Order: sequence, then structure tokens, then C-alpha cells
Amino acid sequence: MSDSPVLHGSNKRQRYESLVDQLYQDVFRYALWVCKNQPMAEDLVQETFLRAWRSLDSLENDKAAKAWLFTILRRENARQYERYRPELVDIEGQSIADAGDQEPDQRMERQLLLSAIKRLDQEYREPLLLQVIGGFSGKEIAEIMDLNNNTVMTRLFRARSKLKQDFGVDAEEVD
Amino acid sequence: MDEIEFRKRVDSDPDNIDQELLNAAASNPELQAIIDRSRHLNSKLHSLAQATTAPESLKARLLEIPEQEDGQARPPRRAVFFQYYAAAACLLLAVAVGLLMSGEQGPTAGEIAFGEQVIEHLYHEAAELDAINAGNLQRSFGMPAINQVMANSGSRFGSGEIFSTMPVRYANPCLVANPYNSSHLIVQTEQGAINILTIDNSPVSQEFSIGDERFSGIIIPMNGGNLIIVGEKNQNLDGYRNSFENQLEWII
Repeated sequence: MSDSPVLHGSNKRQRYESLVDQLYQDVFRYALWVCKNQPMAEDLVQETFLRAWRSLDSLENDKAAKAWLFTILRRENARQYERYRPELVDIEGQSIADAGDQEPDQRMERQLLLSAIKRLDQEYREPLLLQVIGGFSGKEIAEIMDLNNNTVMTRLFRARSKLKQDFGVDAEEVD
Repeated sequence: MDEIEFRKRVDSDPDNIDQELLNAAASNPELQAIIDRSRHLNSKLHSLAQATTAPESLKARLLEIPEQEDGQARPPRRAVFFQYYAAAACLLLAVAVGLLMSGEQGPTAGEIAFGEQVIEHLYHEAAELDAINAGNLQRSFGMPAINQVMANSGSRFGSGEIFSTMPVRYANPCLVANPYNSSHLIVQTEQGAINILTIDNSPVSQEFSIGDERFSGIIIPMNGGNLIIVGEKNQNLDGYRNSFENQLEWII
């Protein structure tokens, strides 16, 4: 199971602040992959937490908070943008690959990996990102995506197989 | 267990490889290499995934949400729809009286019905309008995000100049009236929130005013579609019309 936040505080406001504090980074990272555009990702995160605040009382199990937020985000994204969004110019991909202090070789490697992830079909990319960014188990991903567990595990396997093939991991020596 | 099954179980979750697989790999270097390569790739994936961080300003905005929501006088949903039905009757009366006074050929029944749907749509977004007017919704959309939304209705604003004094607080692709694709912006002006809607078609072929007990506005047919500007009844929209009409471009 993904790292479970402990929502501190006895009242709704305190629980919400604890939710933001512990999870907004992961939610933003996932939103950025989904939107490929920072302003839109920030808006999507804002809408996600707005809806979370409004229905926070319905969250009975704090351990499910992260999966709950990601589910809200996916629904909100589908509701707001997915049907209508034109193909975006991916201006954020470059910044994802360039983030941090890196040697040119490392930067190139990240860009290659980023390109390989983007080339994955959405049905493979989505569970992979939920696992890598959200830290979700196969069962949690199955619930978020409304799929069965075997389907999720197969898609994760295929996603990594394709990445290895594209990224050349199978051919290289591992340190 | 054959190698394909082994690979499948490793690659589906390299961070949680079960003991059975680890035991099998301990006595088989080829299987161990599969695990090592999978973990190697996964560490690169994690590193890439963690490479970006959210801006601090986003956290601050998220923490403001409860205050904004608590300070918002939001009518119960049922009341909103009651307001709408009452408003729709007033709209019909207002259009009919307006036509009688002007003596001009007025909008068709279909166009009047379309005007009603526009007003209905505004009540769906009443919470956002109220929040902007109360100063509780302070976010501001940039031009890339604005034009992403505008693209839904085949339109765009060529310059962001107009929004330097009228920040866009809300931007959403929507269906004001099925099947017309629409874009809905709410801008904050000195007089309060104003709705700017564009439709990728021309459900209305002649300009006419719409309004009810709360809203007042105009539907403007243009070459590429319809532009709709609606504000609260007490707002004077004349000063904004030219700006939006002149800077709006139709791209399809």
C-alpha cells in the first residue's frame, strides 16, 4: 500500500491542512504528467483540493486519503479537460528532464527515459505513473482505475518491458 | 515458474518483489540479473518522477480554500434552480417587451431558447461568480491556459493585453447548449465578475439582448461563431464589448 498520511487534528480544517501538507507535492507531480502544462496542472490540483475540502467528511479512512485524492484528480481532469483538450505543446517535458543539477549525460538519459514514457500507450503509462509517483499497490491502482488487479499487473509489466526495450536497459550493464 | 512468468512478476512491481522470486534468483544469476535490471530502471523512474516540485504559491492557494469556501454565501442548489425557472419566465417577458418597443424583427423562438440556455448555464457557475465578486477566488489564468480553453470553441485571444487589467478567474470548456462547443471565461472587472462565452457555431444569427432578474448581457453573432457577454444586471457592459469583440480571433 502507498505511504499513508496521518491526518493530524480533530477538526475538518486541521485534517485538510494536514492533507495538503503531506500530499500536495505528489498530487501536483501527477497532475503535471497528466496535463503536460504547469498552469493547467496547478489549476487541476486546486480543483482537486477544493472538491476534497467539500467532501472531506466522507473520507472515513485516512489511509485511503492519497488514493482518494488521485481519484478525484482523475475524475476532475476527465470532467474539465479530457474531452476537449487539444494536443498540447509539451513545454513541461523539457523542464521535468532538466530539473536538478545534472551532468549532461544524466540529462540526456532523463530525456530519453521521458521520451520513452511518453511513447507508451496511455493504458500502460497511466498505471505506471500511479505506481511510480503515487506509490500505489496494484490493488490500489485497480481501484483508482476501476480495473481488475490482474489487468493492472499485466499493464505494468508491459509498460516496463516496453520502456526497457526503448530505453535499452536489457542491453546495458547494471552498476 | 518459467522465465516469462518470473519477468512478469518482477516487472509489475520491482519495489515489492516477493520472497519466492528472491529465493529463485539467489540460485540463478540470470534471474538475479532480471531483478537487478528491473530495479535499475525503477530507480531511474523514481528519480525522474521526483524531479519536479510544486511551487510554494500553490500550497498557499490550497491552504486558502477553506477560508474562501466558508466566506462564500452559497444558495442551496434547489434555490438556484428555482431562481432559474423564475428567471426564464422573466427573460421571455423581457425579450417580448423589448421587441414590441423597438418594432424590429426579433430573435426566433430557437434563438430565444438558446438565450435561456445561456442564462441557465450561468446559474450553474453561480458559485464561482459569487466567489469572485466576494474576492474569494483570486487565481489568475495565464494566456496559454486561456487559449487552451478557448480552443474548445475554435477561438483565441491574440493578445493578453486585455487581461492585464481584467484577470481571468475562471476558464472552462463547456457545453452551454448541446451540441455547440463553448468556452467560458469569467473575468474580474472594476464592476465585478463578467462572463465571456464563445460558441464554435452560430446558433444566433442576429444580435439581441438577454437577461433576467439577476443577469444582463448580449449575444453577438460574429464570422466564426457567437460571442456572449453577460454581467450582473447593474453592470454596464458597453465599455467591454469592443475590447473583447476586437481581440477575439476565430481559428476554425
